[in-house]
Amino acid sequence: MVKKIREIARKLLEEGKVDVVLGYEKGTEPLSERPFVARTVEEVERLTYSPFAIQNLATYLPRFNNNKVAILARGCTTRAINVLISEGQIERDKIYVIGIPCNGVIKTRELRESIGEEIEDVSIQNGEIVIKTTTEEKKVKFEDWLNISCKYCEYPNPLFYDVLVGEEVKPRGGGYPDVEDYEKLDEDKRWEIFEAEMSKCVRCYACRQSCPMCYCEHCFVDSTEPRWVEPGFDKTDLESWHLIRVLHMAGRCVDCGTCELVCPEGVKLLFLTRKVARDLKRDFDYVSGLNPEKPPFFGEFRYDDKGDFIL
Amino acid sequence: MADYEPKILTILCNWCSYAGADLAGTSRIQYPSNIRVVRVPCSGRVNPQFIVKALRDGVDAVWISGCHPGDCHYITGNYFARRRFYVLKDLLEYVGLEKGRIHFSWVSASEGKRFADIATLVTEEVKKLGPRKKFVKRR
Amino acid sequence: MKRVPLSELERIYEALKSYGSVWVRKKNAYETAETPEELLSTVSKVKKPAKFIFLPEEEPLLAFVQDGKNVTFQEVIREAKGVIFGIPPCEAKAISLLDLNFLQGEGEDIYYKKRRENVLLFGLACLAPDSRCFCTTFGYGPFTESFTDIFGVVVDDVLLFEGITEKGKDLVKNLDVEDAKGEELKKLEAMKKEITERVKKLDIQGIQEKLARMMDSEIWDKISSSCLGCGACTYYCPTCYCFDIQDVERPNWGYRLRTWDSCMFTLYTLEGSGHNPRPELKYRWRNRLMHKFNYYPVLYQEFGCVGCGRCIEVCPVNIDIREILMEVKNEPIRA
Ligand code: SF4
Ligand code: SF4
Ligand code: SF4
Ligand code: SF4
Ligand code: SF4
Ligand code: FES
Repeated sequence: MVKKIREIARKLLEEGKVDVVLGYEKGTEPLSERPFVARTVEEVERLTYSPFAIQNLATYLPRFNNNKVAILARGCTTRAINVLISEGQIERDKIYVIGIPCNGVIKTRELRESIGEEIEDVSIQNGEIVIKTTTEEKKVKFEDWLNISCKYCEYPNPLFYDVLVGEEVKPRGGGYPDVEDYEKLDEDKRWEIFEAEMSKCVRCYACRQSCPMCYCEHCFVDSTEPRWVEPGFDKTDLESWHLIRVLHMAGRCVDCGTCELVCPEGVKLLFLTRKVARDLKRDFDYVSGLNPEKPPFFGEFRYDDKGDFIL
Repeated sequence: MADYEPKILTILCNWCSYAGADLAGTSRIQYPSNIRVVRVPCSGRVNPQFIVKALRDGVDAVWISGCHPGDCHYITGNYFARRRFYVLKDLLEYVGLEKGRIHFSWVSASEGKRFADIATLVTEEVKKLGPRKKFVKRR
Repeated sequence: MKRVPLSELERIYEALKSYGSVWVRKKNAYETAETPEELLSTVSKVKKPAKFIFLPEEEPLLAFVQDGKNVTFQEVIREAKGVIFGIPPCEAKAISLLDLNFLQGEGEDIYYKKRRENVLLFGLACLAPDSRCFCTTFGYGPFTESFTDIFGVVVDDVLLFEGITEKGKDLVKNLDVEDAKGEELKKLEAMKKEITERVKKLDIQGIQEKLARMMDSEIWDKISSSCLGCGACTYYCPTCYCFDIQDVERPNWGYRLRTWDSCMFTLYTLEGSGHNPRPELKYRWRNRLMHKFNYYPVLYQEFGCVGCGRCIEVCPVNIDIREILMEVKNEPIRA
């Protein structure tokens, strides 16, 4: 797979079809497959790919608007591209999509932190992640460390591509059992968990910055008039930040999981975004990023939209 | 709890619900004084963020009212609003905020009685819940 | 050097306690210890560095109340008093770098000072440098005692320690502990050599001068191309100290709040007019590196990085400052 990716990237750059290739390279941290922008044929040799590549690369597209770009894209990356097109942020013609059927990505930060020892080497073999530390070899199940969105992903295959690397995979699917489990908890318990999660937030905004949909030049959280979120670390402000962010994501979030996976404090965020995604799908038959021609969820309505909650 | 007088931020669209409130007033129909009215051009003007901010700023509950579907002065404003409110209400209840802290209604300009009835209903429900313990800012 | 067996740490705990809070290393942050056993933390690198004791994530500076035409102000100073037990040399050095910025001349910051003055640093040699550590690059190492008030090393099941500053010496003087044994000191020397050598040292000779000539280099584009512009690297960095001050207003009162800020945020340099002198990520990355490897040395003859490697770990996209330093070093300078 990596060989094929490099081959394609090299050709694109050599023929001048694109200026840059957005891909991944091996990082310096254990379990890190980090974003990498290849600009030259020599740099193509650094491109790699693995389930540790957590960052949704669509996040970088708007900043390369003046270039012709090739991008490695999984299902959720293509969905993000669709949303960006539908919101007028990028143009499809300028983007060359190297499609990657996806087996899911791993919660790399959480896994790395759970090991608690120096990690020397990592490999994936027969559905297991094999982690060699200074003292032992640990094996964990691939499926156990999957990003929750990937675990139930309906669209692992790129929705469109200019070239596909590898064979299409079968979607795991499975809906939103995580959201349903949360709903079953009683009200106070739900609040307790929500509050505990949000309280961990240090307002570094890595979640926002890594999200392909958060391209706003002026984010509401930075607004001083009105002050949707006040400065400081009062729980209500941390909660407001995340609640409103999730509202901004309604019908836009493509459930890639990047926000949660990159959070340095391990704040759980997907139980919120996935809840909204579930509602939209169940109650409005709306799934984000499937069609670049479709207006955003909040930019349209149906006469028979749910209204029984209104007196 | 008997003397608990909640503050209820009430956002009314100019053309229907505000006129409905006006009618209730001129017809001398009694309704609780707990509601604090803000007039907006249309329920479509109400950003869900208003509701989150109002709660954080300390109101006990929020009630939003606009024209009946089909009657919006701007034709479709309330249809757009309906979607937003749905998502917000469900999200807030999902994270564990008590049901009954946010209310929505459609009240027309001629429904003075209905306005007063809903104001009473909302106030009573919020009174039953008591002072808010969740999502209260420390300072 | 004094000695106290790890099984008898209560002998020093009470003395530390009499000084105020005793902060110890927990996985995520320094926390106050309730029992002597907690001194025996096995965490080698605390995620949130000890700087947060001196520069908390939020801190009210003053409160104001309006009563008719009268406005009254009240200064709020959050004090801290106690001992940070087990702070490693890198973090202690980082605090000495913060001191340069917060305790000198016009820039003196009373809020910082009130805490800094009353908190002793009981350092411990770092016995398990990890793959991200490059402290020896900066002329010190995992056994450097000079930035602490008291410095200790755990050798087998004994804690060896000595007072470094006057304050530290005073505290040690009053403790009921014995002198270290000869063989323990010998072992310490061997450990020091072995562990210090484990740290990968970078050669950054001449970086300050080189950077001075690189304001317009194309390298900043390359360096910042995968950066997301979040605050993670700077928030967790023990030497970063940028803050923001905002007023929070209520109908008849309000308060002035200081919170963390980061030079990696767009908003950091955004001016009221809408103009932003650092409009793109590359300028922010340039500032971050320049601040640590050029401005700091120019101002204080010290690098503004201690080589702890935290930024490497917390960065969502694993941007590695070591690689960047090497890139800067190898970048040819255009005439
Ligand atoms: S990445 Fe995590 S800590 Fe940072 S702002 Fe988002 S939730 Fe908070
Ligand atoms: S909110 Fe999170 S899961 Fe949704 S698109 Fe953004 S990064 Fe992906
Ligand atoms: S949270 Fe909302 S306002 Fe902020 S960047 Fe994301 S979409 Fe924009
Ligand atoms: S820049 Fe990075 S390595 Fe240097 S002191 Fe800060 S966090 Fe540590
Ligand atoms: S943590 Fe990484 S992505 Fe975030 S600003 Fe720092 S270097 Fe950029
Ligand atoms: S004008 Fe009343 S809802 Fe639009």
